[in-house]
Amino acid sequence: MPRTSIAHTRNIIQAVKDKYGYDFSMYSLTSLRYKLDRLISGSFISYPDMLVQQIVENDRFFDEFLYRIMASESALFRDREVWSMLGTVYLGYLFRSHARPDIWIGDASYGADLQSFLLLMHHYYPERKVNVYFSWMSEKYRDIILEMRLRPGVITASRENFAEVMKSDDFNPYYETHNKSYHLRSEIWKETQNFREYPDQSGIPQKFHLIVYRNRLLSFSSDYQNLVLDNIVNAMHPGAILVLGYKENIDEYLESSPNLEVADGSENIYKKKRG
Amino acid sequence: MNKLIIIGGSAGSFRIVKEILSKLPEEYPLPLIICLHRLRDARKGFLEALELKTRIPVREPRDKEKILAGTAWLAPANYHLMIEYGYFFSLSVDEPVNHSRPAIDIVMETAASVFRSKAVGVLLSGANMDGSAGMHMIHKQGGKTVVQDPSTAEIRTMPEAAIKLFEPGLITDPEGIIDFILNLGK
Repeated sequence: MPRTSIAHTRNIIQAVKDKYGYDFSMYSLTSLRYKLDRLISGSFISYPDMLVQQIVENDRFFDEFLYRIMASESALFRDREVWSMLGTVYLGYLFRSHARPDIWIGDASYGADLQSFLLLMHHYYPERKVNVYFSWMSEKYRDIILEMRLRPGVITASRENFAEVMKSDDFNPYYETHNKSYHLRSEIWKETQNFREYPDQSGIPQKFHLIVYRNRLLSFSSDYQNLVLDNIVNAMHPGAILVLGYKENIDEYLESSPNLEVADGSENIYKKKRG
Repeated sequence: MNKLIIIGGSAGSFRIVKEILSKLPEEYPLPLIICLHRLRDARKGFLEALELKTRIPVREPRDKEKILAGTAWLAPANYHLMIEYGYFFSLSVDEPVNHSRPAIDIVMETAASVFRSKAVGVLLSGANMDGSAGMHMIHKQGGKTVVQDPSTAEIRTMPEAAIKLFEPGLITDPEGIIDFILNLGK
């Protein structure tokens, strides 16, 4: 079981709330405890109480805390089926009614979902323009995403998925290599914009036509998922598309929300109702 | 909820899990959680193969789904599966543990945390050491632990790692494991 006890976790949550105003009390407890375990061991901290002290006294360490809470390892085109469907069905749907749609990639995978989307656009609709945004809670996380680098641990899996979705296993038209690491070519991502996000997704700066928010809700308790979803749905234009992770479960929200409907149940794709 | 059985395995375990499931009666009263190392991007085929000749439902849980008795729950590909207070599942895409996602240790540790002495761990053939820490945790919480006899395992690394770490309640061959699980349900 996680080494960080429930009592220590609650102390950490309270310290973060008191000092910075971020409320993690509605995070899924077990997952949060495992993340705290990794933060503690990765920061050479001996006791959870020392973590509280670090968070309270060191703003830079708090940024590290947010980064660890947010990021997880993932390959390009994780869940190939949904990316293929986005490329072949939903991008076309967006372009039929919007000359330049606004897209938000609420990424939690070191930028893998963001890069996947940009590659998809480049492959399926190279002549069309979109406004792509990604969001971040920690500045460290933002900076890592902006490196637009493929994580070394997921290159093999990324290549396999890439071949399946892009119908080619050649990275070269899309990536350049520096010191054996792959970086997305700047012409593919240079117009990408970003904004700071908060745990409950309050204050999203504008409305979007497509939101990719995969596997982020998993971190939250059911009640908090509903609150976050409310804020996300408010940031969708009528007819906009929301893509979640394929094992995420929003049945409860759908029962109570008049605004969201299922577009594809097997891939967890939803549409905001019009009118 | 009475007891919760968690079966973990990797290379060489699939055939045994199929055998276990095929022997369970339709009215088997306990929930089983099956965590096997599997291809990360093969979402289809695994569950369907396990369902063949099985009389109880076999399902992959979705996030925050309630644990139902009499059902075999298969940990989905490329997600960690956790047991939460309140007897429901949660999933995460946190980094692999023991190079595995799902990781057997995560399911077993969280099950031990929630079910304590009512958690039952079964560890089968496999090629890495995932599962031994989870089995140990179940053992420490007073739950029953069964490890496949390494001499009967296609790959002995996984059961041997558990036996090196602690003394399991039972070390037996696949037939013995099936009898043990059937008896738990009586």
